[in-house]
Amino acid sequence: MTENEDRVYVRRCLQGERQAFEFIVRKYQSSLANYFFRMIQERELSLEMTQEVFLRAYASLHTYKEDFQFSTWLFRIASNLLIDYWRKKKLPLVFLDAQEEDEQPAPVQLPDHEPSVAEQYERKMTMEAITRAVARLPENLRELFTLRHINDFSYEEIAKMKNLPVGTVKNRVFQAKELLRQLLEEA
Amino acid sequence: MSCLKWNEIYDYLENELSPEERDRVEKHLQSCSRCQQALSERQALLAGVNRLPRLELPEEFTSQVMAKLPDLSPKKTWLIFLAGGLYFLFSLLLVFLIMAGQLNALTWTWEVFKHIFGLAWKLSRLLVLGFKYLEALAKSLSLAGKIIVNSLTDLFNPTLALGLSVLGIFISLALAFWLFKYIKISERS
Repeated sequence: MTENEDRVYVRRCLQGERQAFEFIVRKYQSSLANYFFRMIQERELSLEMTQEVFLRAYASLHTYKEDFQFSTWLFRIASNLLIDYWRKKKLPLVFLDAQEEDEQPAPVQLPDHEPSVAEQYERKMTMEAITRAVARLPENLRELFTLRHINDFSYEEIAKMKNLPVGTVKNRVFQAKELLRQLLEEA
Repeated sequence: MSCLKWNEIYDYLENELSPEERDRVEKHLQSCSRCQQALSERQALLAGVNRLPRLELPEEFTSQVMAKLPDLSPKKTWLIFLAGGLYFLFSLLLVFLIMAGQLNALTWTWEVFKHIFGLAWKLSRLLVLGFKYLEALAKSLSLAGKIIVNSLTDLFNPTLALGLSVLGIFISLALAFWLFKYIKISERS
């Protein structure tokens, strides 16, 4: 389903065809749930927040402007919901300075070929290490990293979503990746 | 040629480079083992992230969301259109009647407008009355304030009265702040 099709379904919803929204829910439910899951690491809460995004989106569909991508609009609602959640939890937002570029990296062991049992075990451990490391990223970096590398948004789309310059988004995602590498190295 | 920057390596891996930049990076990689190593490490990192397990949604998730969707009632919009349409038809009818020389229609229209204006006039009187009550309330409050200030000035010297007023304001603000915090805590618990 393309962005144009999203717009068609939105129009149909606005004309009173409630069932048209089901296509939108089916299309975005997984990516939204995974976005929340990476951000808050709680399954049930992630599902609740995903549901809330759809309810909010549906109630304010009439405010959606077709000049924008629907996915960007939807994830903006998700991002605002997440910010509200952090505010309620009073989590501190941490900003990091750019990593030193001369820093010597250590290799991250991740086999690419068909894994043996031992390799499968090792891979599982690696996956768990990456999951833990992602969870340790500061919230603002983790969100941009998730949007880019879990939800596969382009830097331009994220910039529109978060009202940030593209350069800032790229820089923060870069910081997130280098910090992630550093955290994995320490693990 | 100097070594690649780490962000250039990520841009290369994510196809974010122009064809010229890509050529330059590839040429450098052919001759630099340090950058090759950095590239493979970052490639492994991104591959690992791509392989992270996805959250599986329960089968009934979609139907649950659909069942909870609020009603988008376009009733208000319809009402506005309906009222506008009826008004338009009514005006059109009046024009036709007047043009057809039916003077009675004029008298009848005048009666209708007279009643509408009468109603509007009564409503406005009511509003004015309400406003007067509010004005009276504001005046009484202001008078009460003046009495308090005057008695303070009579009892104490002006500096002390001012000091007391400032203290009063400070205590009120502190109370308001405390109340606000208390409400917030109650909401959270």
